Amino acid sequence: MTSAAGGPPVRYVTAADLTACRPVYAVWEITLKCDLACNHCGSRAGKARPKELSTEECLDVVAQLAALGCREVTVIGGEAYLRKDWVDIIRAIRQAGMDATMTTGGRNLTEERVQAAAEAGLQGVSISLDGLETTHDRIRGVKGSFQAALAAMKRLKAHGITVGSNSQISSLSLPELPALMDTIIEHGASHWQVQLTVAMGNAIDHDELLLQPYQLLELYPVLAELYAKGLDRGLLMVPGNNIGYFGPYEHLWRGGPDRTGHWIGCNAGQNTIGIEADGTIKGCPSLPTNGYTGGNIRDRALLDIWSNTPELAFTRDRTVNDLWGRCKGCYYADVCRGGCSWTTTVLLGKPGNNPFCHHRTLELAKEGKRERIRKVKEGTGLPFDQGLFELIEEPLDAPLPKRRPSTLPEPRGRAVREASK
Amino acid sequence: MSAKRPHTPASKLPKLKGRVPDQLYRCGGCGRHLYSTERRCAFCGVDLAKVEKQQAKARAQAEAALATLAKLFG
Repeated sequence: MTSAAGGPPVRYVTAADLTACRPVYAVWEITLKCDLACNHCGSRAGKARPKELSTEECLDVVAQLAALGCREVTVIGGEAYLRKDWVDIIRAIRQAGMDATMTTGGRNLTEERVQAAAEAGLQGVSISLDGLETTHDRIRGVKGSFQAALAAMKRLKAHGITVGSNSQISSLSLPELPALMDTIIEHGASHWQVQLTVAMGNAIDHDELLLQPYQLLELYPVLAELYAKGLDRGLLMVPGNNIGYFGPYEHLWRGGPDRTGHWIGCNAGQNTIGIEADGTIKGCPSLPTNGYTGGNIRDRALLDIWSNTPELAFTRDRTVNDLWGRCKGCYYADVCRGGCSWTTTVLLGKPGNNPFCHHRTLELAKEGKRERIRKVKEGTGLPFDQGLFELIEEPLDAPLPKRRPSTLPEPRGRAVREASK
Repeated sequence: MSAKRPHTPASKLPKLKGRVPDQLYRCGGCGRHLYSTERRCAFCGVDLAKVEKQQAKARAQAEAALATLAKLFG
């Protein structure tokens, strides 16, 4: 989305932001309660966390974010709108001078909720669409969730809220991306964030959803073509942090209007901050809770956690020496520093060696090689848990093991709508 | 609630110094990103100064052609 003034989004990082380590963008899980049952959900959302922040505590978080120089807060869940005071939080964010946006599955984003959010000042909403109807409902675990999401897009648009969409690229959605983009454009989205499904939470249990690293060779030319076609039709494709890096299309993903921009490394704890519903503070909302929690807002001031904890500072201090595997010797190591920390941490147990890299898959292909991942350890079943995968390097033309048939359950029938309670 | 929370005064917190990564440039030959210290493209091997010179010449010719057209068509 663009800023209220029509320029680039306020979350875009400037050199001054980089130098000052200012948390310009916060992603805040305000509740873990959810009305969907997504088979790829990293946080295994469903029920509210045991000790979610009170309204008073949330308003205090808003004030502390503003004081730290935050410019945009995206509320997420679970489903953010399932918190009774979600509109009060949005209003407070706006009154504190920050942009307020939301990412949602939109299943019960009713007319009443949209109207209340618009009045509170919600500026943009990104609706998650993870494939065409059958695929989306299957991944999201609920029949009718695709149609509900599209209806929410229309409602938001009617209330003047900027509408975008975000999609997980999985083994199921990969062949559907062109048709999915058509649907997204038809429903009025101005931007479309795409990202690879990551091996966290429920996606560990359903690892058949994960792409294999070598499939980037197939994916990225498709994305580049869709990027150009989307622009012609008024849709800006925005890459998630695990899309990249430095392949022939980097100037499309991150070049900006003059095409000079590029990936500059994981931003967790540098200009991005993640907040869990119980006040846990991380450098990025997607990172595992275990090992990446700097503290809790109930115990320490946000400024203190941001400034003083190694769990948030790990990307500030990261050097090429912290990289390993192929990333360590990569031409782009100094700028890239291993791509998305989340993707690699939950896959291989630590950041700094990222097989989901276009440059890397191209270089491997030149050597007649490819990489494949294989699960060797299940997750714990807790929110934001991780399993463990091994990385197999093999000849590009080696026979592939048979893909395990999908274990995704059939989506449950349309439940009684929680809607207008 | 805020009163209970230990609060370190901002003046006592370490001043953070973030990293500003190198700005990379695209090769005029193959378009891949390169460090500014490169003389030859690390991927396609072209002489970067030579390619830049050729492209500047082509740009100047294109601009001259456009100016001529603009004159012709008023």
